[in-house]
Amino acid sequence: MRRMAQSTRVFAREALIGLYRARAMNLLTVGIIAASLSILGGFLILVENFRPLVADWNRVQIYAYLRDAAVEESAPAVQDLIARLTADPHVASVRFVSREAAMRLFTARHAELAQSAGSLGSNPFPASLEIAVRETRGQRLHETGRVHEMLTASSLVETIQDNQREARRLLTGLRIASAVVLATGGVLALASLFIIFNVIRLTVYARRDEIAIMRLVGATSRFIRGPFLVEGMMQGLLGALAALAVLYAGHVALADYAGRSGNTLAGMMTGRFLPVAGSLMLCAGGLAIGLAGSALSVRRFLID
Amino acid sequence: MIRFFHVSKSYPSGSLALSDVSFHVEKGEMAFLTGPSGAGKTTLLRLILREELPTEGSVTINGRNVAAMPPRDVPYLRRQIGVVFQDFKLIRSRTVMENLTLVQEAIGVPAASHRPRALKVLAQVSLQHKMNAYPLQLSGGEQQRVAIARALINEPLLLLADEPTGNLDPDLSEEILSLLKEINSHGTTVLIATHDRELIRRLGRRVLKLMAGRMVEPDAAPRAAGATVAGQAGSA
Repeated sequence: MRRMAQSTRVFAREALIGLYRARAMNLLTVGIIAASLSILGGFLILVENFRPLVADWNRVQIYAYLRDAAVEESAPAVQDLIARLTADPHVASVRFVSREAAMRLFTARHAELAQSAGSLGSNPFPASLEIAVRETRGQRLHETGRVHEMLTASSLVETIQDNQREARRLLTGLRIASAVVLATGGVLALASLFIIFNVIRLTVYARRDEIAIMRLVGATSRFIRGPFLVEGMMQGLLGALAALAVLYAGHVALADYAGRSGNTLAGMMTGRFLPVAGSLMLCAGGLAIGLAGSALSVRRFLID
Repeated sequence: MIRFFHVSKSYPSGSLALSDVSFHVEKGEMAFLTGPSGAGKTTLLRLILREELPTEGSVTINGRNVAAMPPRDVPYLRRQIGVVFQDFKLIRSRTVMENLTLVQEAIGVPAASHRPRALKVLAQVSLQHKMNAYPLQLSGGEQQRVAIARALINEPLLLLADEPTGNLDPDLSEEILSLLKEINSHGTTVLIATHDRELIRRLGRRVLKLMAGRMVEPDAAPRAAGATVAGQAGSA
């Protein structure tokens, strides 16, 4: 245990010496790691902030507008339809929105048009059923179809609308954007790994005499390799910390802009910063990139 | 301590560095390994350190066949052997004390012992006052004494010196030789590779002579009075 602590201290010291000796090159390496992790971290922040919205989009809602006469004359039939829909295992919830409630909702959402709606003399909004389909990935279309059939068959329903097409379009767009961001981040992460690989290779070359001496005096491979691995990990971790600092600065600046300009999108994006788990994930990513790059380099260039 | 038994070493290129070499150096002995450049002296030292493996034959160090040794045991073999080179091989970016400390860290000496052990070996080579100097601030003789101190830090059973006076003037060479003799007098086996005949003549120890990879005069050097006992070739 004592020996391990001593080795760890030596590895850390030697790694710091290595980082300092080639500081310009190491700064560049850390910068590139920071850039790649900033992109990935930025993506995680967007996911964090858009998650509730995406969940909302992801839920297919069906709106069934009821005939005015049907609601007024046949309340038990409406209740019966609601009961049948609720009993369907694919339906998550059914909400009845009366004509009055629809009017209230409209005036609350569009205050500027409230007067125009009121001037019509009578309530133009039909009563409706808002049906949320239970989330079961892959089967959603089919389930919506079944609910559609049930509604179409009912004489109470005048028109049916759902947000399936819009939701699908938005989700596709989001998926493409995510893929582009992740691919860019991934390419940059690979580039970082390659750069660390080469930086460690140069460090190994610069310290070849030292390594030869260490071997001759009886240093183990672990002792010789340790400082290079720790150096790679330090580069990765520093890159991750720099990425977190950049992201936080960006978050604060954007939140400030959102506050001043009232920009909704900026406001949505700055609702939350990366949570602790996400930050730790980013640091772990940096460490992993650093460790992988240096391990590959040491394996390739530090032959026993 | 060192036993070569019908050792040959050839390289993939086809060149033969050593051919059927057999000799024995006893514990506590001081011997010279000589021969012209390219005779195979360095290859022989590399075989002792297990930097190379013999193509044929066996190399036994302190009773262990190093050729059959698993790679994980090699560092522990090397910890029993101190090495001194013609070009000193000190780490220039570190002070004398740091050079000695790094070696101790490498071989797992507890931190509390680093300084006392370093000061002890520096006292042996009379360089305590230079412990904070960098190698390039020292003379050639001083650098070689630091290299010897480094080789002694683990109290090795065997000290190998590859042309230890090759870069030094006669006075400094004398100084280094005296030091090696003194180390040997404390029981450490010393094998010095050199082609300096004057040096060999003055010390009058056993000579192992290599010529084109063959041992030509395994035990033929003139023996001065008081020289340590030399083993017969292949007698162990």
